Formats: sequence, structure tokens, C-alpha cells
Amino acid sequence: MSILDEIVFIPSPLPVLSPLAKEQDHCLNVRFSRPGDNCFLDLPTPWVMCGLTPDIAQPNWNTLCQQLRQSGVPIDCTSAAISNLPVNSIPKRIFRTDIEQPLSLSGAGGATLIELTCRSAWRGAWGWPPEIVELGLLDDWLLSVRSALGDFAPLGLGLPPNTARSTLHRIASLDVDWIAIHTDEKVSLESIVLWLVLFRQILSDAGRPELPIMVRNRNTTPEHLLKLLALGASLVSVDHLLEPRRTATNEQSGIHPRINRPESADGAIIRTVQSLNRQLTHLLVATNSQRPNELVSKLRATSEAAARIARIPLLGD
Amino acid sequence: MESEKESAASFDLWDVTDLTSIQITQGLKQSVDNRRVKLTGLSPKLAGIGSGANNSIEVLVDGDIGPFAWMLSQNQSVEVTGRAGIGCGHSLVSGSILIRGDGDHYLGVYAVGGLIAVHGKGGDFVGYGLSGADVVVRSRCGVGVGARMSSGLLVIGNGVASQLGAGMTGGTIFVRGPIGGTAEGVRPVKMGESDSLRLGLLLARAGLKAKTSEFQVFRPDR
Repeated sequence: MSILDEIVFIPSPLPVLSPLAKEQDHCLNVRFSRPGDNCFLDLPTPWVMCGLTPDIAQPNWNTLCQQLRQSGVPIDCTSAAISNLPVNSIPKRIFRTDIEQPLSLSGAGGATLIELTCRSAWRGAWGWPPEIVELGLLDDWLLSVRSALGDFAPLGLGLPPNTARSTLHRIASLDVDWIAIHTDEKVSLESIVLWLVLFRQILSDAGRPELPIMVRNRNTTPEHLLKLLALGASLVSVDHLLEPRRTATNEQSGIHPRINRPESADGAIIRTVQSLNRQLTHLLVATNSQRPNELVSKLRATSEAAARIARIPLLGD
Repeated sequence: MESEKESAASFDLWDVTDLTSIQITQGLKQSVDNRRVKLTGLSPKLAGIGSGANNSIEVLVDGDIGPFAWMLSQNQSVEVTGRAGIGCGHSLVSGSILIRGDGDHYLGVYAVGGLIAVHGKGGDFVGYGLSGADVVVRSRCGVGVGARMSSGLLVIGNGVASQLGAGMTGGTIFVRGPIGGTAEGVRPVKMGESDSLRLGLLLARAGLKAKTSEFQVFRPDR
């Protein structure tokens, strides 16, 4: 049983979808904005796709992208991956670049979100860029990168879940528009929850309670995704729920060993996203909340360990 | 490159005292092509001057420039009469940057094209991750020169400290003067005719006079 299984919502959502759960009455969108700036970007839902590439999705890449576009779900991919798509199939895109390599305008152009992942493209290790010889240069570096890339898309930093508390405090004061936490199967859910809750508290103390946090998580259930949103995530990756079923060709060639997912044809991805939206809206209605970030007050832990890590009351207290 | 005296009369003078980096860079970006701009009153604390600029203009900076100047810029011809801050020409795409004073650490880091020339000395890790640009430093540089470079030409006119070419996978480093130590996997090679020609052209473009025969040539082991 994982930590997220030891966290429950109160009151417990009804087992059937409430007829009052209309998506348009509740705000599922995620807003990116900057203090003192009237401009903002709204993503319609908190779902993102982070790991899918054309070679994994083939021959369904075009269909997948078209449905992601219709659903408003952004995907982390290169500009080359979508360069041959028809215009009505081009989804919102996350441009991600590691450190220790040249910046690229062609990669960032047209992106909806830009992420600077603090991981060396060369060494595969997490850290600040080597040209940041002292942390005092971080602000200068970010300002320069923002200017260099055109300041058209919200700029974020990608971090690992074991980022030190002192570093998180420093990051909370930086001029970034969002943060991504990178996880994989080796990272425990406890670590993810611990990091998420801690960073959200640090951001709140720093006067930035609304700064979006993306959790690039591994395979988790829809219920766990909702709990991550309640615990402070603004966006969560749903690759494992949306990826198309592997084709026979892919299986034979062993291109990508993933578990099966719904077929991508005939709007299945759109229906899956709509189902996730309904589940989230249903939860908001049941707990009398307007937005996902209000759900944290509706959480209770069934174990002391979960209560301590998630910083929520024990059930029954 | 023209000398400052010859071209000063034809520059538009911008006094940028009290302006922010964003304001100055926006002004540069919005200048029409072929314009010549002279910046005065520029604070060396301002970072990212010229970052992302891609119009064909000439810029003369009277004084020093701050960190990460002309990051990811293209087509600009820049001359700085003073010093450059850390990371000058970061990810430079094309154009030229001439620093008449000293450079700093990570000069030309990840630069993919264009030319960066320094008439003074450089710092540590000059040309770190160089990816196709040319970097010339007339005087001495510190440690890690050419570390992680993959292509391009790096020329140092008066010696380097240790770790020359650490992690280098391509490109060529020319060094005149004392060498504190080369990294593993980097070897001196005989100066060929094409090397001599390229070095000579590069020195001429950078406005430096030196005999190519005085330089040692370094490349990564294959």
C-alpha cells in the first residue's frame, strides 16, 4: 500500500457521478502568470503528456496529436516531432532543454511552455549549469535566457525530487513561471509527496502560493493523480493513461515495452481526458471545492506516517 | 573590424544610464538592420544585454558589459571597449563580439557560430562546450579551456592553465605560450597547412598579429 492509498478525501465522493457535476461550473484550468504582468496563459486542464515520442506512437502519432489538441493537453516533444503535422493536429507543446548544451531558438519557437531541466545533457547528473559559478548568478542567467528565448512562453525549471530545502527556498525567489518535478519508477511516492508538500509550503511562505508545479510522474492511478493535485501539484503527466495501445509491429520489434492503453483511434483519447475531467469535477462537487488547490483541506490520512509526510490531519482528528 | 576612431562619428548615441537590461535589449532588437548604435552609461551589473537579438546591426559599447551578454544572438557586430562579464556570447549563433578588455569565465560557452575575440585575457573554461563558433583570446586564460568542446576553433595567445580540452570531442585548440596541462584524451598534433591557414585567417579577423608557427595545435584522440 503506498502513501497515496493512506490519504482519503472527506467527505468521501459519492460512487455515482453527481448530476450537479458540470465541468463548466468548476475551474479546472491552470493559470500561468507573472507578478505585475497583465498577461497570462491558461491551460484548460491539469493533464500533460511528457514521455511520448513519434516512434513510440507510430502509426498513430497524427491522430494522437490531433486529439491532444482538441483536449487541450500539452505534450513534451521536439518541434521536429510536430513539424510535419497538419495545422489542425498540432497540439500545445512543452519545449524542454537540458543544461550543458547550446540554447536553441528553433526548439523553443511556438512552444506553449518552456522548461530548463537542471540536468546535464552530457553527464546525466542533476545540478546547476556549470556557468553558474555562484548561486548569485541564477537571477542573471534566468533573465538572459528569458530574453534570449523571446519571453513568449512561461519559463520553468525542472528539478529532481531530492532537491535540498535550501535550494527550494532559493528557487522560490527566482523569476521562474513554473516548476517541474521529474520522477521515475525509482522514486518513491513518499519522496514525491514529501517534496510536493514541502515546496508548496515554501512557495506559500514566499508569497507565491499559485506558482504552477508540474509532476512528471510514473504510472499512477487516476485516484492518485487527483490526490497529487490536492497535495499541491498543478499539472500531472498522464502518459500511462493516454498512450495508444502498442501495435503488433512495435511489439515484435520491441520498440517500447509499455503496458497496453486504449486505442488512439475514434476519439478514445478525448474520451479518456473527458473522463479524467469528470472525475476531478465530481471530486470538487463532492467536497464543495471550486478549484483543485482547495482540495488539500479535504484530505485526511489513515496513518501517522502519511499524516506526517503529507502534513494533513489524521482521519478522525 | 573597424577601429573605434574610424566609426565613432557614424553611430547613433544611446545613453542607457538607468535603463534596465530588458529595455536596452528590446531597443537593440527593434533597431532596423544596418543601424550603428553606441551605448554609453551601460551598467556592468546588467545581465543579458543583447540576448536573443538577431538583427544586423553594429553595436559599440563604451565601457564594460555584464554577465551573459549577447546570449543566443545572431547577426550582430559588437565591440566592447572594456571588459566582458561571465558567459559572454553564451550559445552565440552568428555575428561577432570583440572585447578590447578582458574576458571572463565561460567566455563563448556553448557558442555554435560566429566569432568572439578578446584582446585582453580570458578566465577559466573559455570555450566550454564550444559547438562550432570561433573564439580568440590574445592573452592568457585559466583552467579548463576548451572543456567539452565539440567543434569550432579556439585560439589562446599567451598560455593556459591546466585541464586544457577536458572532455573535448571535436574542434581544434591553438595555444601559444605555456600550457599548465592537457586533459586526458587530448593530444598535440602537427600544424598542417590547412591549420595554419585557418589560424591565420582567424587571427586576422580578430585583429591580432601573431605568427602561426608559434602556436601548438591540440585535438581530441580519435
